[in-house]
Amino acid sequence: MKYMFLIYENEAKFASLPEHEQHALFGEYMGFTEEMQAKGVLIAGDPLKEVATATTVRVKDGQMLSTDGPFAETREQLGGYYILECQNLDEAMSYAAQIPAAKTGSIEIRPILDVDA
Amino acid sequence: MHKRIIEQILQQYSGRIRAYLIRLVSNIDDAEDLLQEVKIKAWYHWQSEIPAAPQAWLYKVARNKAIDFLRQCRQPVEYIEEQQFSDIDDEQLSSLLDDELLKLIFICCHPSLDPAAQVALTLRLVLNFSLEQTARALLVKPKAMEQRLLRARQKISQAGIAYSIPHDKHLYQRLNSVLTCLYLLFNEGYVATAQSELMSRELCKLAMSLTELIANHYANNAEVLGLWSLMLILDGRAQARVKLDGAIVPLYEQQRSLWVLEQIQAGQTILDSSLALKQCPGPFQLQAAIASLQCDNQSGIHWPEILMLYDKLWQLSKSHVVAVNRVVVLIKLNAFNAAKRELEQLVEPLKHYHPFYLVRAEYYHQLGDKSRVGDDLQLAYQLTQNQSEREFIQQLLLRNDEQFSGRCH
Repeated sequence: MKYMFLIYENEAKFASLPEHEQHALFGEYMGFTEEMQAKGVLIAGDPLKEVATATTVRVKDGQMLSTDGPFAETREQLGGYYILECQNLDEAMSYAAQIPAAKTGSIEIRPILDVDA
Repeated sequence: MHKRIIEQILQQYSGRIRAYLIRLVSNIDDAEDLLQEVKIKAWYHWQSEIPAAPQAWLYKVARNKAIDFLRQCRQPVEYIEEQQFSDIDDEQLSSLLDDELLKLIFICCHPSLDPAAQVALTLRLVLNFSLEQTARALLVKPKAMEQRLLRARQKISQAGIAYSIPHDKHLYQRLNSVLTCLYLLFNEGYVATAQSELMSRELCKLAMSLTELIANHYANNAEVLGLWSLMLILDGRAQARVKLDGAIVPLYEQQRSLWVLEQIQAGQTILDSSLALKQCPGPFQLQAAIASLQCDNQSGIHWPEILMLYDKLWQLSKSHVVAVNRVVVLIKLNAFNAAKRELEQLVEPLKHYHPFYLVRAEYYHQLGDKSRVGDDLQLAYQLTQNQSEREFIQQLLLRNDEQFSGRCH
């Protein structure tokens, strides 16, 4: 079963970290990604650019309306994702706990709907 | 008479047979349909004579129903057919079905489910309560309960919660979640939010029977034993906790002759063996240790030790409810300044929690502030719907008016 891991973190907090700590964090992510790859469960995973780059689009009465910023202003922002193949929710939860942001932010786990099934 | 016996047998084994079916067909709703078919078959065949080994009969029928069902869905059944059951004796079958029930408990108490849904699912699926009984036990309207159960069942099938005993590396968290759920269930009976006395006693006993099952399985887990011990001690005092007229009796005023001493001692023995495992004591062992010390002779209660246990419990749980119970101990130790500071901090988070006002009333009582005692008792009265609690508070109010002797529990 495929699960998507949505990584939420307080972006401002991350930005305020000294450079060497930011590097160390990137290193942790690299480590996690490599581990998942070695296990053969990694399907995809990427960090996202900061939330200031976000644009939200809606279509009303055939008109496209776009607004600056994310869909909702929250304390934590979506900062990246993974898609991993897991046996069950327990396994997904234990992977989520290894994602560095689990300690400082939160990881939302969502099973991916298999439309072909 | 015959009908009652059939009902009892089906009630006794339904949870286990359901658990077995869920594991075979990997779907709660399909398993439920199959269970109904098994029951109907039992009703039909048992009219003339109930089989000597009803459990084996139910198991066999359930197994065949599941095989038929899986065949219809073009799913593999060979692995079920390969398992020989004809030479299993009744004891082996019991332990096999206990394992199935254990798996079902782990599913119902999965930490990804809302705690209220965990308790409801456990009542409904493991303990075989009807929808109406589950709703009544948890004081929720049947319609709302139906929704809650439906959402939980959907989450189980959609989110990929496994139908198995958790892998060792997940066991700790999963077990914790089970223990918390069973304790909630026990408390539901113990604090008697459930409407009838009969229902609440039954809830306690059922929670205890499941905890015993878990304890038999995980006897090397100190927290499991801690919870088992805690339940035995609390339940051993339950008779003395409520007066004939229904009013609650505070612990330190209870008539100890009503305590079931053998059960309390059994709880204390289990607590000793949990501590002997020398695992860092978790919240259930700490609470069991507190409950155990509270059973000492009134004059011999060792308050400083209880305070120390509450300190540890607070560090682990950071629960405001623990903090307010700790204040009771501070008052017993005449540490009024510390009690005052704590109460001031707790008033905001606990403003809707009626025991908070009972504890603060006791604090004011010790200071001789009769009018504040009255105010807090009134607040506590307004905040509880429970009849026993209300009777108890009413008595405190009377006492406060007459001779000024409030007590907290």
